[in-house]
Amino acid sequence: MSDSKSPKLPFPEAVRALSEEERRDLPFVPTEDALVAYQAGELSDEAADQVRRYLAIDPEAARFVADLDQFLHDVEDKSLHLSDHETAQGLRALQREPGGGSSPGGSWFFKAAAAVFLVTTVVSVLWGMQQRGHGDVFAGGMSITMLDDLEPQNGNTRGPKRGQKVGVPQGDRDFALVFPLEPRLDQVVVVRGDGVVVDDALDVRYSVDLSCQTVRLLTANYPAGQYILRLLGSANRRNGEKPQILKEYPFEVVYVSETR
Amino acid sequence: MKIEFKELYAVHYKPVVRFFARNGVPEERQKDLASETFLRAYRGFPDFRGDAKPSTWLFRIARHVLYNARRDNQAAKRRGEEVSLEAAQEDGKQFSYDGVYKGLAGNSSDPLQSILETEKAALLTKALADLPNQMRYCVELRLQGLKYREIAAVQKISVETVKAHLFQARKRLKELLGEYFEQIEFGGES
Repeated sequence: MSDSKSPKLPFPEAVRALSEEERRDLPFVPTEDALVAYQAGELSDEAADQVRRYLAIDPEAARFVADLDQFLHDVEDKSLHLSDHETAQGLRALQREPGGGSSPGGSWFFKAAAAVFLVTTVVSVLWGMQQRGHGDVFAGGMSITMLDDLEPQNGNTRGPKRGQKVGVPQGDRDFALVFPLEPRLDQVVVVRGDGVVVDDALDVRYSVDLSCQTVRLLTANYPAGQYILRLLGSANRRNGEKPQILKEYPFEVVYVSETR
Repeated sequence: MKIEFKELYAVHYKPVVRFFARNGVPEERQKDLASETFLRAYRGFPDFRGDAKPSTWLFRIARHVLYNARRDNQAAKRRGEEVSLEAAQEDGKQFSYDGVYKGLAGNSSDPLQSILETEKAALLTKALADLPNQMRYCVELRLQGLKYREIAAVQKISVETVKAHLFQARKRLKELLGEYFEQIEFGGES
C-alpha cells in the first residue's frame, strides 16, 4: 500500500517525465516533412494517429505544429499583408543588407558570392577565427575546423581532412566543427573520446541555406586527445536496439600555448 | 504556382514577425530576425522549386533562424558566465527529464521510500493510460505549456473539446491521484 503521508510529488513534472520516457521508447519519430503533412491533413488516418500520439509526448514537435498552424492562419489574414509602399520599402532595406545582392533568381555568380559571404561570416564573424601559417594550428578567438569528406551543396566550403588535428589555444573556451548534413528530429550528435565529454555542451546549429549543421564544443571539456564525433540515428530502446551510427568524424585536439 | 519574391514578402512579413513575438523574442529583435529570415529566403529563392508551399518553406526558415538565435544567446551566456565543467554537469542533472524520472521512480537512498515512489509512478502511468487517448493527449500537451488554441490545432479538435477534456481529466485524476500528487491543475492562460 502506498503511504499517502509521504511527500506529494508535483503532477506536471511527473507527467512530463513519463512522457519523456515514453518518447525515447517509441520506434516512430516523425520528420519535419511528416509534421508539415500532418498539419496539412495529408496523412492517412493511421499515420496521423501515430503523429498525434507522438506530438503529445514531444514538446518540440508539438510546438512546431502549433506554430505552423498559427503562422498559416496569420498568412491568410489579409489585414496582416503589407501595402505596396511598405513592401517596396522593406525590399529596398533587404537589398542593402550584406548578401542582399541583386534580384533573386540571378546568375550563379550571385549564388556563389552569397555562399562565399556566408562561409566567410561563419568563419570570421561568428567565431573570429584567424588562421596562422602552419598547417593545422589556429589561434586567436575560437578555432574552427571544417570537415570536407562530404562535399557541401554549394561547393565552396573546404577545410581540414578527416582525422586532422585541431589546434586550440590555451584559454579559448570553444571551437566549432562544421559538417554538411541535413538535421533530422530523430538524429543525435555525440562526441566520445579521451576526455570527459558533456553532451549538453554540444551546440548544434541548423542552417537552411547552406545545408550545414554546425556543432560547437566547449574546449574546456576536451583535453588533448583523440575524439570521434558521431551522428546517431534513432533506435528502438524497448527492443534493446542500439542507435545506428550514421556518420563518424574522428579528430584530435591539440592545445597550443601561443594565443593572440 | 509561380510566386514573386515581392508577393512572398508582402504576405509573410508580419506573420514572420508575429512568429518571433510568440516565441518570446524581445520586440527590438523581432524585426532583425525577420530580416534575417527574408535574407535567407531571398538567397534561396532561385532554388525554391515549389515542392513545398511557399508559406511552409518560409516558416521552416524562420524556425531555423529562431533556433540559431537562441543558441547564440545561450552560447553568449555560457561565455559570459565562465561555466565550469562541474557546473555544466550539474546543470545537466538539474534539467534532465531522465533525472526527474529517476527521482520519481526509485532513485531514493531509502529503500522503503524508493518502493513508494515506484508505486506512485505506476499509479500515474495507469491513471493516464486509463484516460481516453484524446483526453490524455490534451493533458500532456497542456502540461507541455500549450494554450487551449494550440492544443486544438495540434490535435485537430475544437477549443471547446479541449476544455471539456481537461475538465474531465482533472476531475478523474484528482480522484485517483490526489493523495499522491499535487498541482493536478490545467488552468491558467487559455
